[in-house]
Amino acid sequence: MNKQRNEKRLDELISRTINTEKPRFDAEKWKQKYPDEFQTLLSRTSKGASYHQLNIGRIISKSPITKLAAAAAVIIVAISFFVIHQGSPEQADTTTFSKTTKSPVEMMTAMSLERAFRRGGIEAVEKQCKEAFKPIGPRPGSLSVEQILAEFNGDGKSSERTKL
Amino acid sequence: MEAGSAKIMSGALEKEKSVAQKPDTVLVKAAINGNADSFTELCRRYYPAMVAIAHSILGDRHLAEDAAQQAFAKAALKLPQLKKESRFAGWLAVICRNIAKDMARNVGAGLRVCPTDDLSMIAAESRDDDTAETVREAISKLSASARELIFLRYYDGMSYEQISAVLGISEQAINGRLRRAKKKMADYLRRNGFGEV
Repeated sequence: MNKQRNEKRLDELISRTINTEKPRFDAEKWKQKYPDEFQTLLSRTSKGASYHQLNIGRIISKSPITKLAAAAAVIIVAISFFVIHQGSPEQADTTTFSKTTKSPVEMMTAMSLERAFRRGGIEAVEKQCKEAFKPIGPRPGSLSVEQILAEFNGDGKSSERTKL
Repeated sequence: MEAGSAKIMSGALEKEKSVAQKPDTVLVKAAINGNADSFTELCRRYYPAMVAIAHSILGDRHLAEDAAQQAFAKAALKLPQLKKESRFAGWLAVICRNIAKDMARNVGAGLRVCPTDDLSMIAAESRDDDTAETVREAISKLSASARELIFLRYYDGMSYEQISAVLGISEQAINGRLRRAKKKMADYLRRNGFGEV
């Protein structure tokens, strides 16, 4: 009882010391005092909607789900970018490899060698031959390209064929 | 003619009434989109609280009102930066507090705006000068945050709910802090010959 009375007395004392006339906001005076700020506030009428639409950062940061989704999207984009840029030369290499690497028999057909000759002359034919013989080891020094061609055209001797 | 003007007046009053009933979040959203009426209503709603906060720092009613108005001006400019509409009051309080502190720093030397001095002015207006003098001393002995809370609570008889919105703390926390602040004041008053308070 005494405690309550004391509290009430303290409340009265504080109120009497602090309590002044209730401050009232005068909007018109404020507008006159801060015209620039008020104009800035009004100027957002048209911008306001688009401001919120464009503020993606705020939308993302609003909930943890959108944060996670945004992070996942960034990771996916980063990975796909990496794959496209890093993977493309490899892919190109593999495709060219698959296009160029044929079996030695295919590489040594008359048509294939003719194509190589048209492309780069005798040097291209030599190169193709080297490529064709790579799987079976180095070409014997005694054999010339002409001999090989003759062999493939069916003019070669059987002994030379065995050497190959 | 009179009937027409009366109709306009009643229409304006209706509009004002409907704006006044809207929650903060709705008003803040509208104000961000350039609705002046909504912003004015927010100012009206939080003006006493801002004046109380500024008064607890500046110790002068007129300076406190200036600080509160300046806070609204700054808020009008920075409103789109507000992250959560529901935290408008707390955000505004931070702006007001900073402005009041700047003002106290700038005019401090000339006006002697420490709370003790101003509270003596309040005391002069009160019925019992000696009592008010001792009470203001007790208030000035409190920490800045406790003093702010006392001002918010007793300046305009703000409810715990309103204070909670402004300070961004729970009503229980406000109750606890107020109790502690009042206990400190009571101890001070007891030591200074007030008997039981």
